[in-house]
Amino acid sequence: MGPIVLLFIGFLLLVTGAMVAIATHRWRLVCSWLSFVFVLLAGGCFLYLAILVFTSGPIAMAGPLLILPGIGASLTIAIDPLSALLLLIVSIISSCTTLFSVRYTLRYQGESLVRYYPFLLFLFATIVGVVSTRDMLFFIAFWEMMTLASYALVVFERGNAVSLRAGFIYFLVTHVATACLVMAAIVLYVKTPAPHSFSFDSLSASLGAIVAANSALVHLILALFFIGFVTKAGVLPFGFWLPNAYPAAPSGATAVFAGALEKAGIYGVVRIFCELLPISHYSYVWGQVIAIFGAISIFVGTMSALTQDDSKRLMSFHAIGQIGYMLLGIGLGVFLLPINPPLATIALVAGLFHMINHSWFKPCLFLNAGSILYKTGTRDLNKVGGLLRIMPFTGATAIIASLSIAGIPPLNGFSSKLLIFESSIMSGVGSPLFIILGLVAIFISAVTLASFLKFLNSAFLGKLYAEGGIDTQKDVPLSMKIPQGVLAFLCILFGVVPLLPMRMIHSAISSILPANYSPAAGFLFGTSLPGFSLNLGQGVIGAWNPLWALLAMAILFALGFFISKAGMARTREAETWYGGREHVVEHVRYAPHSFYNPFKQIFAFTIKGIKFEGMYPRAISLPRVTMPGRLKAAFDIDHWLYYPFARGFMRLSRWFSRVHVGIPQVYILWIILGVIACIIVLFLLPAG
Amino acid sequence: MAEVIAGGNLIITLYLIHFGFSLLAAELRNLRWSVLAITLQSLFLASILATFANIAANPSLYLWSLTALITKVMLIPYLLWLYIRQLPTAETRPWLGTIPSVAVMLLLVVFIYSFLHTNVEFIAPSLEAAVEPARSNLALSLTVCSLGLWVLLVRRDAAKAVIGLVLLENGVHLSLVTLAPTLPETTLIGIVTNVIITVWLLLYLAGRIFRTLGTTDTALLSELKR
Amino acid sequence: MSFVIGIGILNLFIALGLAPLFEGVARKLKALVHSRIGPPLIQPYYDLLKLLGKEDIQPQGMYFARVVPWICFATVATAALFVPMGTDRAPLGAAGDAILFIYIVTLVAVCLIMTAAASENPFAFIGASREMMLQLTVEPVLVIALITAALNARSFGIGDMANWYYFKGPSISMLLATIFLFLALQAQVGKLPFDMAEAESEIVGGLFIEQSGPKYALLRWTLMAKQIIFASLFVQVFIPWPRIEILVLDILIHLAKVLGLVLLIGLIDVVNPRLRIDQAVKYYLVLVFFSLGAVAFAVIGA
Repeated sequence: MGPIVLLFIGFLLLVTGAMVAIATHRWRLVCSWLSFVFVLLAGGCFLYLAILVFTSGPIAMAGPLLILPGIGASLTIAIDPLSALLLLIVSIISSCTTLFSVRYTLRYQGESLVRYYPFLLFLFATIVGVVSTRDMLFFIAFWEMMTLASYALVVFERGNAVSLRAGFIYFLVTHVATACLVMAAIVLYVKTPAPHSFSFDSLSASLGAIVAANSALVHLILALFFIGFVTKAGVLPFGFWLPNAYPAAPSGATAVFAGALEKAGIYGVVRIFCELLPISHYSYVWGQVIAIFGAISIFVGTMSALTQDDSKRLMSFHAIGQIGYMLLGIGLGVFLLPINPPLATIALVAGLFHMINHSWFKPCLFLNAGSILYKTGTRDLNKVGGLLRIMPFTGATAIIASLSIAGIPPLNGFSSKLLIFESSIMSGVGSPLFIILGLVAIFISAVTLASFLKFLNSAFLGKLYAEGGIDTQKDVPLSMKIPQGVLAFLCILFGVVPLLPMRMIHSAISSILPANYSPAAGFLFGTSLPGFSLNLGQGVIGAWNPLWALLAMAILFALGFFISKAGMARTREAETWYGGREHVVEHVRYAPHSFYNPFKQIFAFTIKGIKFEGMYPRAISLPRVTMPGRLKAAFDIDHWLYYPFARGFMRLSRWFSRVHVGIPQVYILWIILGVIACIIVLFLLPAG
Repeated sequence: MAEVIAGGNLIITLYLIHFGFSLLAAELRNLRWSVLAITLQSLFLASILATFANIAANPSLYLWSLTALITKVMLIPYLLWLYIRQLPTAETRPWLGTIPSVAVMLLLVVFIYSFLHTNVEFIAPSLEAAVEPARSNLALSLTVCSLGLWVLLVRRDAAKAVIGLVLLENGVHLSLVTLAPTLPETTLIGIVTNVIITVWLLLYLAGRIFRTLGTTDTALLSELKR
Repeated sequence: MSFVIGIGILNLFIALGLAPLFEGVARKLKALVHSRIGPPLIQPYYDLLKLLGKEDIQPQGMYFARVVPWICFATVATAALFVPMGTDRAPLGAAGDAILFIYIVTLVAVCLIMTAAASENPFAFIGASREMMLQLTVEPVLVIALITAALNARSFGIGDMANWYYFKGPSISMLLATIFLFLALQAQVGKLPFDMAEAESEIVGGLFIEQSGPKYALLRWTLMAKQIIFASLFVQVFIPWPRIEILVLDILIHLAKVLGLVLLIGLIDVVNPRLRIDQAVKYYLVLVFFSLGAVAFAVIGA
């Protein structure tokens, strides 16, 4: 069997864990800790498997696990480096968020845990299933199960009407998206040579045939796939469900959504556009489409995040924005595949690198928002402040994660954003569109920074303030600190040693592109371990070596420290002075919604009665559609089919019930008549 | 031959008397006289059985006759008398008046008898049963059966229905002579016990109905639901 | 390696050691325009020394706030290592390119903002908000200018850009980029009319209201160094002539150009009033829009 058995062990551990969670759901802590143990073990299996794939090449199962011969679908399991990337993400995110949820779910005393942990573990299992199968039918099956599990987590707070509505919209939208996926898969399936098959290889061949035939069907198929995947990933305008659905779920689940679920959408996009689609002129068109949608997402998502004061909603908008970055990188790569393979590889590596980096800092930020919620009971940033004093560890991880998402060196966000910028600008030499997109990306990077500085400044820095009192003694429990610490550490690690993940991603990309298509990682990125230098073949065009920069900063920090201490000035602690008056905290703090007011005002406008704040409509009201009267009557099956039937039946049965008159002799008569009838029948039967 | 004829004549006479009393039992509106009629009918039934024992040279039939005598002439009338004593003397008015009722009964009887007498091959188990006097016996007994059934179905009074049942049972008993002459004694006792218990139960129920409702009219039995 | 260390120390000397001198020159210019005699040229050195010995008043309990000023200083000094000052490439040019430079400068701004926020004072928050907005809108102009150079030079290394421009000669796109970067420079160095983040009289010092003693010295030093670093970048990439291959002379030429730029910045600083933040934001957003023209020219190849 080989190492693939680890995948099954992990999967079974998750499923068993889900069942154990169902069985023990009444004892809250026991259920939580048991789930965590199962997830940790499964995560360990997946992590080991991912590392194995990166070091020794793709692992596949010899034969399919399950064959459905009539349809031509077979559950073939294979882990190639691209899947291994997602397995890596899932393994770490799952352990972190489950550990976080152990104490966090204590907040939800009114809700039963049976609706949380089983679905959480099931979600992990289905994500693993999505990335490890090479058959389209089973891919869609796992995809659908993933959607269902995540829906259950979104509507975890059953009493909250907002959550239910958000979950409903999410359910509806993702099912429309899944329908698109199914349609596209079926169109491709029908075109495969008989016997039809759903496996990726045969679908790839059929898509290649359609591309060679140069028909417009390719656009339809790719559009359907694209819509299906990006809706799940949360790209505007398809991802309008995201800002409502993400805050509704518990923080641990939201972290999983942002960390792993969206990445499944990106995984789908990469699979379709890099592996299934042969490199052709369609790549031009679709690369640009993907990149444009990415840029729209980046711009609108992050701009509207500036106006948010709810911490989780803020993070959700940023999730939309960051997904845009990933799509920008991937779209650029797809676009460049026919014309400039080295730059295309860099762009694809950039997009996927940002995907991995996002999986570290975004869940960390959601867990931070969850910690704030846990400690103060509110998500509204206007109502908290100065939490760094009492939550130093959480605050530190929040600072690290915020700086990562803003792309500040030497953290990991900078490395991936650098790659995205440089590849988009360099490609702009041939096509100016990408320069615009690159500029949008850089501008929005600053906006992201602004938004997160607002978050940090209002929640953690500043004067200590929490409406409704707060326990000032200790930080959140250790089990909630560890996941945030792990994720922040990964941010730092991937920032300081970016070449290591870049090599992994490069092997993922080169394994799905045609053979020998992309230059070797050593050539592209240089060989010094900590940093990378981009080389397109005409010399180094860009470089980033974190260790040197850090070393310099450390030395200079020491210099500054010594200079400041050289003056031998005395130090004294004093409270901040507010003009000498008696004051309450609310009067002297600078509320988050006051941040960047002029900037917000520039980007606020009203179109036809819908107020746009930061380019995002304030309240989306879906149009009211009423059916015409005739149509309604035709659809009212109750009225014209069921009721007449029921009435006729009642009449018939009442007519029959007249038999029971209550007089015994009548009954005897009926019996006798029946006996006679039987005898006659018996006489008439041929056998006698 | 003469014995046969003589026996045959005796049988026929007994048949006729038996039948007459059956008709009386069926028609009489006075319950007590109806009971009397049925007692006498059973008596003649026993005698028919004894005669058959003589004619067919079947000694076990004597035992039959004895059983019939004890149960049908003594036990059942006793039970009937016991319960009907508590009921009003007049039967609940049936749907048909006296004359129409008699007419219908006679028509029915004649029709059925002639039908059976001519088409006895259907029912006769063996060849000798198709011969006189077994043939008439069969026809008659089944006629009495149908008469009892008619009474059971048509008469409104619960007690009269029981009497009709007894008539039915007597007819069946009589037909057994032809249909199953070699029936062992124990079976017969079982059959008879069954009849006794049924009659007893029905009479008890009739009595309770009378006590609860004040009437034995079967058409009003649905009142018991309340 | 020796290049790295030697030129690195030189860069640090220019950026840190000579920055107060340039600041002094600017103050002298201001005084002359005001018809005063003004302080001596080395007054900023005296100021820094004085501040180093003053009492350091710290906010209670917030350990983070005490560390950030040093990070600020370290960052700006590191930024100095990524800009070539007279040499053909930066000391750490192999470790970072133009995009990194932009982000390190942003990191300086971030540290300043976090210092301000950590001090709990609402004036500081106002200053922080304004600083961030300014950074937000100025940075695209800086980026566009550098991208224009990068597109032309086909590389992101600052030294590569300078070399290319030196050999290619002036072109429309680069001239436009020069103009726009110059317009952005004023806000980057925090001088009038764009010093609303640190408005002395309006918000009582804004970002630095709660800083005192050595920390305040470091922060002031940071601002001075930032001015020199930006000026160096501008001068190195967009005005690379003349260049003599002898190191010392090149450095002197560079310093002379930086001096000229500092005088220009000082002049603008003296004669202008302070703009409001929304005016500044609108101004720069419009500038961003126009600066795209420079990029367009670069794409065409002009």
